[in-house]
Amino acid sequence: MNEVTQTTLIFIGIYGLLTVSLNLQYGLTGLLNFGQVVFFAIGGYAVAVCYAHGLPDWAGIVGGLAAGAALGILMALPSRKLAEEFWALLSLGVAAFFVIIATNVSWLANGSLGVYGITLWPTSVILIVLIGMLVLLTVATEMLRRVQFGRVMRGIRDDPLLVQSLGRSVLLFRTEVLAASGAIGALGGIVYAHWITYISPDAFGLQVTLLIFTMVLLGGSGNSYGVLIGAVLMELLSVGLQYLPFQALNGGDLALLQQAIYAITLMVLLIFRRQGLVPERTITYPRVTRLRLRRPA
Amino acid sequence: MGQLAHREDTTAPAPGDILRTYGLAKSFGGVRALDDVSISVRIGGITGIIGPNGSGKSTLFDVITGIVRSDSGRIWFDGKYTARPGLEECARNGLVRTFQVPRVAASMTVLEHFMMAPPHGPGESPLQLFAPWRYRRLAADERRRLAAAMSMAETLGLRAVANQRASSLSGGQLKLLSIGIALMMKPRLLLLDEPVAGVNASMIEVVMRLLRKACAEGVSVLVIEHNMSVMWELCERVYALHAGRVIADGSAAEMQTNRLVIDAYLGRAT
Amino acid sequence: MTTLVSIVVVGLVYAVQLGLIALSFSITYRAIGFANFAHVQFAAVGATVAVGLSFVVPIWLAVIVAVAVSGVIAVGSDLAIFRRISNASIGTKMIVSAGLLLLMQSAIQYFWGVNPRIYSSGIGTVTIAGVAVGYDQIAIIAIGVVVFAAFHQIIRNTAAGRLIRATADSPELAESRGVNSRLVVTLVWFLSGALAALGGALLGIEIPVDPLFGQEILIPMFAATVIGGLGSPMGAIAGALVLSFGQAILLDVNFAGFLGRVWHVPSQYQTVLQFLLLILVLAVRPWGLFGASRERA
Repeated sequence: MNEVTQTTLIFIGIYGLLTVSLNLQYGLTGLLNFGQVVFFAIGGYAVAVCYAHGLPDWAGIVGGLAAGAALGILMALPSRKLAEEFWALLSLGVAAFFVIIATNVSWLANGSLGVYGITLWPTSVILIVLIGMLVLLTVATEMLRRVQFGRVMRGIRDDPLLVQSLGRSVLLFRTEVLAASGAIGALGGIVYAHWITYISPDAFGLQVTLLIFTMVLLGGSGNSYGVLIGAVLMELLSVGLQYLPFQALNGGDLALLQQAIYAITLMVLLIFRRQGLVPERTITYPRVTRLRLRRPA
Repeated sequence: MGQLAHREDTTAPAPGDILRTYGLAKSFGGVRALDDVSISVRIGGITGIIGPNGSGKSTLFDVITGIVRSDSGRIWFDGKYTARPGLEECARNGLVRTFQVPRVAASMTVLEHFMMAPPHGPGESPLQLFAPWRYRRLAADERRRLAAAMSMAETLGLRAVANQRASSLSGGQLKLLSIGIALMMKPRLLLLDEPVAGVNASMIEVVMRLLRKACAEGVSVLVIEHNMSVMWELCERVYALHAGRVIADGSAAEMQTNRLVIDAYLGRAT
Repeated sequence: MTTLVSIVVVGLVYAVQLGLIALSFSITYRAIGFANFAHVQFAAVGATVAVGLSFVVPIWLAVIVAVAVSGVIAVGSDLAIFRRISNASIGTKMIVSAGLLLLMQSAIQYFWGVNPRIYSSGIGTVTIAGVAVGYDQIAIIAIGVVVFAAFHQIIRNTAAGRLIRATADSPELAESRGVNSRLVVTLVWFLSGALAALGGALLGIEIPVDPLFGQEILIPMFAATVIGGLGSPMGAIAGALVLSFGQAILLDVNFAGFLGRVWHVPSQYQTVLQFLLLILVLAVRPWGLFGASRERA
């Protein structure tokens, strides 16, 4: 497998994890997490910090997953009192806050210089982890959608007041979703750290969150397979942009063009086809319309 | 009881009452939505609330379930005084309500709503969800929910649209859906806000039968409606609200001929 | 006394700069009903065009051009984008606005390059009570006072102002009274973009300008508007004052008493302070000083 294919596959995998995470939050539970990148960042930084301070590799992994989950729980807490848009603002702030801390608190992870030389995992290991987790998570999400938890989740997405009027704790469900999504996003960051072997604050800006949103919306918000397709397509687009006639552009301009194309894709999608390529499928029970039931007296 | 004294002379609830409010008041800006509202609902009975639009009926429901905080007054549910009810706690304690404009999850089907409603499912806790040894219990619960949902859909005449998203249902169907959801919660007290508005006549019959059956099983109902014939047939006791105040209360027979009530509704067809 | 003068001057200057951006944000929030993330880029356009042109034309002319350009861009964004999603959910609208933010940032970066540039006015200073106050700072304060006063006067006390407020609150109602609501909304957008650009230009005169200018102003802008009450333009000004003076004072405080040595809050933590204040307000009083508390009727 040549280098380009490797990198592309690995990035599809990493972005795949991030889209699964965002799909759980936004696609299925209606949480507008504009700080999605912070889960990615906390995973990567957990590895970086542990490496920089001489701790063993597994500490970074466990710490990253735990930190991702914990951050998710923390972000869930204000969701009860805050209206949708305020919570979205807050999540944006959390991500920005994280980057500021990472940049300015130098003793943690070298500030803006970043941490170099993180242990490189073999490609096969990375691919196994990514593919394995993606398969597992996608299947799990689909199952989740069809059972009671999934119904309540989608109920919260469509009408939180309805769910409250049925006695369910919206806060509890959101917390559970955010904790899981946080850990999944952090896993993406952990793998990223062990592939790129370099972690710095610039990798974790708003544009990453937007890219993940684009992937989710392109593929089909709410559809677990759809969002993976979205990740594949956007990553292929990104690679394609590097190898097409745009070679005339220098690296910086190319990145700008990519960013602009992502933004335009996102906006066009939301204006013209909000449900994405593979819309969320309605869960039906065909037996019902075929069976004949007794009529009550 | 009649057109004059409607104020109850005790503040604490009688033992046979599932719900009791005393002196509820609520203003929005300068507008008095509720003014000294005291009502009680007998266990296992159907109590009605009538009144022209804007008389505070839905606000009363909002206050009872804690969506809106009252300025003053007290509420007792099941003999216990609740200082600050909240919608979730109310539902957990058996106080379930429907909304004047039906609240539904647009992307979920009729069946899914009915499957979602009954509380205490193992499938709601993530720990139980991912424990492989719990699989059979989970699957059994899902089957039960589906069967109950199918039955409710059948009863409410929603079989044809059972697998359709709520967003594609008509207004009357949404009302039926709301009633079904509320009933599947196995409530102790059901607060119905205009349950049959927009529902066709044959289904109204079905709804009334359902409610009577529920009462026979010990459920209490407090219902707001404009459909007078339904109210007179269904309710054992009716309160009339006007501009936030209870202007009269009594049995259905008494209220039908009550002059204050008729005045408030002047010009209204039945 | 020198400290007081210094704090007052710094506080007022930043309050004007931020206040203009927050005020204009509040205006569109009222008109379109959601938080438009891309708004910060109108300010960024103001800063980059003003500072960029200032090398070629006198600064006052550069600012005027910047203001006009931004107004036009704002109108363009409404016509091309926001009008087409007027029936979408709040979440969708916010995501689109985030996409627009990124698109505009890419465009700005394309033309500006990556490097920050500082405008040096070469204008002298005057000494007040032992503090060197720049004429440009005085000019900024003066412009702010004039603009805010004019805005208040126009919006509150003139027929045109009442018309604008009525149309912003309910376009349908205004239409039924014979108002060309499209024209009014377009004007509102132009005004909003223009004021944001003015704030951005005034800010760009004082601090280094780079393509991330927009994102960096996100948290301060939200903090100011939330403190003042989202949707209340005068509240935005009040929020900016509170934030600016709070910040000026806190950054000036010498924590020697607590720490036994001279220590000031490092100025990079300015955004951290703002974010913490934002969280505090969201936790305690999300509707801010002048917003209506969200009570369900």
